[in-house]
Amino acid sequence: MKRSTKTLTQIFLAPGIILVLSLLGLVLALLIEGRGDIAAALASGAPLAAVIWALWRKSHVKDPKSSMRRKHNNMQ
Amino acid sequence: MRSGTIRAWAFVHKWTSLISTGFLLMLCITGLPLIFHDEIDAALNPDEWRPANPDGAHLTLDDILDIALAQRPGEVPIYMSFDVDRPVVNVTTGPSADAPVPDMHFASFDATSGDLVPPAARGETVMDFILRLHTDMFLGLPGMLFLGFMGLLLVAAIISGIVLYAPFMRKLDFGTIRVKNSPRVKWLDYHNLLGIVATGWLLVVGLTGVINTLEQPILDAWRNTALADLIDNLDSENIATATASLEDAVKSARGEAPDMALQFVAFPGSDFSTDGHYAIFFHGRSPATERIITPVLVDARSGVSSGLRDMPWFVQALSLSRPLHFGDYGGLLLKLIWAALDIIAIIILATGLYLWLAKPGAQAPNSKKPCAEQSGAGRPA
Repeated sequence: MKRSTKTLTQIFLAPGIILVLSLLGLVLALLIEGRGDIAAALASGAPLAAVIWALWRKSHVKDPKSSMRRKHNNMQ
Repeated sequence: MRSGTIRAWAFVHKWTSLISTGFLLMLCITGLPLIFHDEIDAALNPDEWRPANPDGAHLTLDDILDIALAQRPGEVPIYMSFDVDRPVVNVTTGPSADAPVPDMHFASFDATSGDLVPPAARGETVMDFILRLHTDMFLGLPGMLFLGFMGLLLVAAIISGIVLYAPFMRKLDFGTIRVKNSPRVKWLDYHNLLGIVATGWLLVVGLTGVINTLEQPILDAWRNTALADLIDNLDSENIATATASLEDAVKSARGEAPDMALQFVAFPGSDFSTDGHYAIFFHGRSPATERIITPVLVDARSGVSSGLRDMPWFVQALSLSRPLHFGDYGGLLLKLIWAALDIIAIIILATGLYLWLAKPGAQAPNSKKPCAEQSGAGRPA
């Protein structure tokens, strides 16, 4: 299975969103208080959410390469 | 991207990272307990102190200053600050007004009686050691500037890492971790993922850290530019002996800044004042302005105020860079997130080091294909 080459937009879309969210969170936490403060802190934790999602994905989504390899071995 | 361009960025990423990794690891590890400095302090030193006369009148600032100086013969006052939640006045003294931090003495006094408030002694030595290691490695200004340079290398490593991320990910989905491949590929994916998601935080902490290391030059520039007129009017090169009442000076300054809250007083000759003035610092009362400090300069001999002096942008940047570096401005939740991101930074540094040590050239001839070939670039991003 050949994987398609991604454009720069595709590569940097998710990291860009995380970057903007975390920077917004860091600055807003400095400027607002109360419940908004909690929301700002959560936004600055966007990188952590992305890491947790990637770890979850790693354990739940099968590697297409390895599943193909397994299929191939079974056929032999 | 051309292979030559990739190689150039990889060279920048490799060397800026390698040179700074050891120091950045030290900064990340020592920074972790510093995030929770207040919580550690409160846990080790439960506050059982109560003022002598809870409903009584407060002593004047001159009285408290006299009491403080009587306990430190031969020393001069440097700073006076005020606790927000209890009637406590803190006085910093030293052998001279421009004494370095290790030579300063800090004592707290009950504003209702002048009694000494017991210091939060437990754990302080360890936290002070960690703070000094983190700030200047016990080397003073040269140590601070050196760590500032390491911060600049970190910024260069982050930018080159972003550039190198693209060729690595051109055939991979965001967040891919190839666990079934060699350990090097797996840790390369972790390095790339953690590095790219933490970019914003790393840039903020790195750049604010660099600004913090420039504190002394920034304050010198402020004194020599914004306060130049006051410095020029001083009639001697010696630090003035303060004869004007401190209490009256603070009252007069409050009149200049009626909507602001008193934060601290810098005595003549200290880093935050001229050689002839009390610099009485106030901060705003809204979340957006409470970290911006503004001084009123009062002549320490005549008691005449020279008015409110707005801080230039570079001093305001310094004021904002402190909380943005230490992450202690948004409550416990933000501190926990800050700590988790700090741990991520440690993992990024450690995996970067591992990827360099386990580089393809060092692998056995029969080992798996190097990850660079699998992902389309030559070095970890």
